[in-house]
Amino acid sequence: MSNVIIIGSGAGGGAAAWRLTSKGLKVQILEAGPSFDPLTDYKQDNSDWETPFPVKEGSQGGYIVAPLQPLTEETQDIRSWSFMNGKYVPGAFRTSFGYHHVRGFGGSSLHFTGEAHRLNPKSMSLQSDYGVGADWPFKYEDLEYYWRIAEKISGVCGPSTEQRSPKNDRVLGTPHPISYASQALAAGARKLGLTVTENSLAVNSTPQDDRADCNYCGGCLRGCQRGDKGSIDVTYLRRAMQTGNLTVTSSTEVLKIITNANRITGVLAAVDGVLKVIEADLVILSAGSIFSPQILLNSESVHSPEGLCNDSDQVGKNLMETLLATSTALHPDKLGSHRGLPVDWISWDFNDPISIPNVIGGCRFSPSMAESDVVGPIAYATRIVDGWGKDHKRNMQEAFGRILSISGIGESLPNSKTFVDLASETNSHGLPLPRINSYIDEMATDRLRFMMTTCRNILAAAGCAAPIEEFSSIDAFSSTHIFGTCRMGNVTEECVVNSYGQSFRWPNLYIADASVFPSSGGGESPGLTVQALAIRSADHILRNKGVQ
Amino acid sequence: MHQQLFRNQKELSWRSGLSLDRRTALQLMLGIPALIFGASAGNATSGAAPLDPKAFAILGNFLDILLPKTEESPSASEINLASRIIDLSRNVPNYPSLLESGLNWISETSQLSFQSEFLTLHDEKKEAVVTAAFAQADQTLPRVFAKRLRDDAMAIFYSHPASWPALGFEGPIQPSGFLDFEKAPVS
Ligand SMILES: Cc1cc2nc3c(=O)[nH]c(=O)nc-3n(C[C@H](O)[C@H](O)[C@H](O)COP(=O)(O)OP(=O)(O)OC[C@H]3O[C@@H](n4cnc5c(N)ncnc54)[C@H](O)[C@@H]3O)c2cc1C
Ligand code: SF4
Repeated sequence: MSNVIIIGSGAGGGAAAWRLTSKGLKVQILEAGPSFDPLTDYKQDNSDWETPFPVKEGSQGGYIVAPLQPLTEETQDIRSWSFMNGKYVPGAFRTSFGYHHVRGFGGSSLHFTGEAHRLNPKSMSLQSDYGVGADWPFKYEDLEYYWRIAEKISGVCGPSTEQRSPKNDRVLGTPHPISYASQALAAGARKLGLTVTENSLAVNSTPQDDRADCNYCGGCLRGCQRGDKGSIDVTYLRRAMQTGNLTVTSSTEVLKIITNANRITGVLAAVDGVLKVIEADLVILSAGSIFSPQILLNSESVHSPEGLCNDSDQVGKNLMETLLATSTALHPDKLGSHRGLPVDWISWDFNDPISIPNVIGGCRFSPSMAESDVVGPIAYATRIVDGWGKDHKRNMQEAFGRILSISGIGESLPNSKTFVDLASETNSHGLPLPRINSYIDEMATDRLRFMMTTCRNILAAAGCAAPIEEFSSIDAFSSTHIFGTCRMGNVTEECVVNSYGQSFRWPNLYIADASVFPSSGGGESPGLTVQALAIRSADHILRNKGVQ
Repeated sequence: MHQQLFRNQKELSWRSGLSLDRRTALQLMLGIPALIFGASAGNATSGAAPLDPKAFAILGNFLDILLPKTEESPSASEINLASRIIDLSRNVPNYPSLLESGLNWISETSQLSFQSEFLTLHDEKKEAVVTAAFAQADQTLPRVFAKRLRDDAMAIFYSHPASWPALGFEGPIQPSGFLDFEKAPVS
């Protein structure tokens, strides 16, 4: 029997597995998805390189999105639209475009752009300071040590000084140069008085960790063939495998966690479709913010009739989603804007919780040509350059490489209408799927409007023509960063786990994924913090086991 | 002449009851960017028979009007785009019948407007028929057909390396990447 079972091999599961195995513990990861082979599964060197991140059998988990709120006249100015395709949400209700995730060895990091951010310390005490959201149960300083480890293992390159950090103690690889096109956007941002800094990215700027350096293909979201992007498979999991202490069972979906009256005893899993009980000394749940609450709620038993860890009815509550506003326009000059790293600079000026006028909760801005997927010829032909015939071909030639796109990502504060519960629809094993409920409230609307306006202003200041395409969370639920359904904290009535991610009731159950975040931060990407928290949880486990 | 043509087409589509129900029309519309909004392709297999040779030829001609040969770039037929569309249509619900009815509409419109087969028209008249298809009201068959075919044709055409040099695009993005990313592009 393995000492420790980890459910899921994403940012949380992978980082915890590395820490525990490198200290000598035997760990078994049960991963619902398949493995991805960068050279054969990713298409970057194929003529159809523009296809999105590959979907393989089992690489998408099932979930339902509950009907979303009606759209109002007042938000017409920040809707998602394109001059070629009209409104992306033509109906009267907000629509789901999905919880974007990957089930696979390495989890959603396989698909990510490598942003590696620490949190703004000021966004970790929103309840005490501003009476909204929740406080983190510890201070920025308590996570610094773990962020530093995560930066090292995932190979973060970026500036060592940063306006938000209390100390300039980061030891990172050389920052990546900003692309020619992003420089044009940066010039626009600077004209508005914004500070622009190289982004911190888990992407090698020089060869390190037996991995190549980046060649600036811009394709991170399609899966990195070169291996320079610090996704969890090539960093934490590779190292954990090297210890000889890790076993990974792919295509294994955990359905329930099993307990006796006092302890977790194992899990019920579908291993290649066959149901099996796998015993465990200790379980770390790292299935992400949507599937972790599903597993807990589906694990109801005589010992926990409301679902595991749900004595205070908190499992699934406090869901925080991606709040995004993006604007895209053509620049007068040829910029070659398909080249370079996807999100090479960032502006943190509005990241403090009270930096947006009349709104609590900050945001950040950065280039988003790759994230808006307006880099390749197909995107130009279907979203940027209208028409057909010889004129179309001429216009394609003129437009290609001139697109600029900028995004704001903002704080997502919990509200009572945004949560995960169980749907009436079931999976192939007859167990309920998770159901996402999402609601954009007034403050989030104001934050989105500020972000969209600023994006438009940056494009205009960069010399672009009027926007030709915009996306916003106002009419579309579309989440890549998603947090908070198993909140950590000190107050049992308001939380699911303690500050180490350990269940209040089940001492041998930990949660290590984005679901434990008490607040989302002002647009920071979560992966690095998920890793840091997981390493911290692993150290707690090691201490309890008397391992140094 | 074109205005006249548009009017004819509207009449034709109404007379033939060619307006699509909203759900089918929406299913068949493309244009949602995949990465932000996660559009997924349908995967139902229709099992429909391929087009007859004449319809296939009309499809090829239609695609060459959308993507004609220029000095720097090949035509649709030079990269066998029509066959690729047929392959694609097998995996998208309702697509084969959209193709068949859309191509019928092209034929009938060409007869009605120019008293000739579409295949025998000069390019200028073919263009007029294609323009008419795009100019129909939203969710009418000819417009959904033209828009869907346009977007698919563009997607297939611009994933072909022969289309890239005209744009100054040196793809695919790997294995070389873009080591000149800090400099102005060489035009
Ligand atoms: C397109 C995209 C871009 C992103 N860009 C960035 C970025 O640049 N920087 C950043 O920091 N973050 C980014 N993110 C977000 C980041 O990937 C996530 O925040 C992070 O991966 C969350 O870690 P996690 O461990 O909570 O979940 P995941 O990484 O999603 O891992 C969960 C794992 O659990 C497995 N699992 C789920 N259910 C079960 C089950 N029942 N049984 C067994 N296994 C199960 C899944 O298969 C998966 O492997 C991005 C995400 C996406 C989708
Ligand atoms: S830009 Fe760099 S990190 Fe991203 S996919 Fe290309 S080579 Fe990999």
